[in-house]
Amino acid sequence: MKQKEFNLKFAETIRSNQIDEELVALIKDSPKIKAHRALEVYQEDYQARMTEALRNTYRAINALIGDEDFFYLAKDYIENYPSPFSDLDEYGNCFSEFLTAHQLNEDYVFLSELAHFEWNFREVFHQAHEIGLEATLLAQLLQEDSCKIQLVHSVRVLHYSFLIDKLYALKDETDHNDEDFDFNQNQYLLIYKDGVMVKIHSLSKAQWKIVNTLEAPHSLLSVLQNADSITPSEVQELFQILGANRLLIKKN
Amino acid sequence: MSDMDNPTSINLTNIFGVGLRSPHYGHLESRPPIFSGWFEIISENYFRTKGRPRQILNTLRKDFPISCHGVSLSIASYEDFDWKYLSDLKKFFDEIEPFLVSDHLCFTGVKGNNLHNLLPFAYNRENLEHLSSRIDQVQNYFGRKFGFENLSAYFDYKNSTMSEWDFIQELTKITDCNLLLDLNNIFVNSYNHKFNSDDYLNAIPFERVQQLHLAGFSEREGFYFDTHSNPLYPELIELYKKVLSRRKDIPVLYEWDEDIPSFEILEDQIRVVSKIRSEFRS
Repeated sequence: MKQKEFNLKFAETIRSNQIDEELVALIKDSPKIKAHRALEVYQEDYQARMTEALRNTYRAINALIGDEDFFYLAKDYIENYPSPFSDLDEYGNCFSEFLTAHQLNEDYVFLSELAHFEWNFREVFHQAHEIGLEATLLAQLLQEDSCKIQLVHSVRVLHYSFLIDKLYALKDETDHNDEDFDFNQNQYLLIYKDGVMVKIHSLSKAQWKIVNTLEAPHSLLSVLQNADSITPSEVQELFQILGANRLLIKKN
Repeated sequence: MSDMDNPTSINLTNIFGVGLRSPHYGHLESRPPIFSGWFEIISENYFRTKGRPRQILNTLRKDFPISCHGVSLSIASYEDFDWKYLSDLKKFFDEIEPFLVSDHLCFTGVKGNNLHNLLPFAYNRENLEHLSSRIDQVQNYFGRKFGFENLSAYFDYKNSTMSEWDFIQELTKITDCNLLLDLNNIFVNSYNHKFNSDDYLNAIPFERVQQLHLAGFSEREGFYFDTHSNPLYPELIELYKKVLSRRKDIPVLYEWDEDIPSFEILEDQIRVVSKIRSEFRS
């Protein structure tokens, strides 16, 4: 067998649960490892490596459902999603989508949304920290009707049907009791960079609508005209957050 | 290739280097005194991020030489290179200006299915020609020499017609490439496949060795496994002394990739090996 064909079959074998006996016949038993076992070693190493990559990104999911269920999920994902990436750290980009259809999502209804959050958190972490307008300058610009503003790139505006930030925080707790915790509430979140770190801020629905609009350039006037039932104090609080963390840029 | 600079000629304040790993970011951000003279990074972990990993790298490179070690070049693949990957890597090298660049003598998967593992190939003429041509392409594209690392492999092919060390020796002659000699991999292979590591070292053109890797292995069901998860075993130290008897000035990286200890503990281990080197008399 040519090396090219061997490579294809070897790659298939590593991703499967089966050992291709045709390959076994082409490799030597070593004094310490039989050929069949050697191929299993590569299979096991692949599973371990890919599972670890998923664990690194989805730490909250792992912490909440435990190792046994996480390994079960990871095994299914790895079987269905090969990695096209050069960097193993990028593996797991479809985990949220995969979880929506997974039976374990029935036991843990928040899984898919939590995965979506963890992936977005990871994306913001790897983005450059774009620094927007300083608060006083922003305040001046907001007075100008024609001035358009927009969010910086290193921000995500997210909406979930569960209290995702609380679920996410449980990853760092060794002893958590899910029964005491009602996570069935809508949540509106802003994730942004603060230096090299990532911060999470919970918003009201009305604030979220405004921030969501600011993913494209808008004037303050047009944003407020389209916002429904937002109180002046909510507006003030929102622009305080956006200004203090320099999350807006001027767009003409 | 002869007009390419020999990257082994850089002056290092300390030939011992350390891998830049995320568990140490917090410590390194506090700007502690560092014993090691340089850092090795896994290129793929840094070349596309603009976040914290890249910022730490940008800070460190002001004070320390950086060696870029890749894991996805897949030089032994029979498919075309991922040119987007090569182009991103080249841009990254231009920005980071590493004193050494390297990858592995292996393939890592097939198109659309990167297995993120370092997979062996048969040591024969067909693969020697194939790899030579691919290494030429890579070195010409980057305009610099690469160091290629020997693998730990858990099997050998029945259609291998030469030893691993003869293959490597021939490959360096044909391509003028450099070597990243991983002593742990030599030791693990010599144990698992029962060959004499002296035969291996005797065949290595040491003038082409740009870097050494030292690491600790694990035992599993009676064979050794390349895990980089332990301190160096005495056998590895002995192997390193054999290298020292041939050349003392090769930059050394102490690899630790699983169950990573604190940076201080890692540097203590590096000090131990550094002392062995400084006290070594051939």
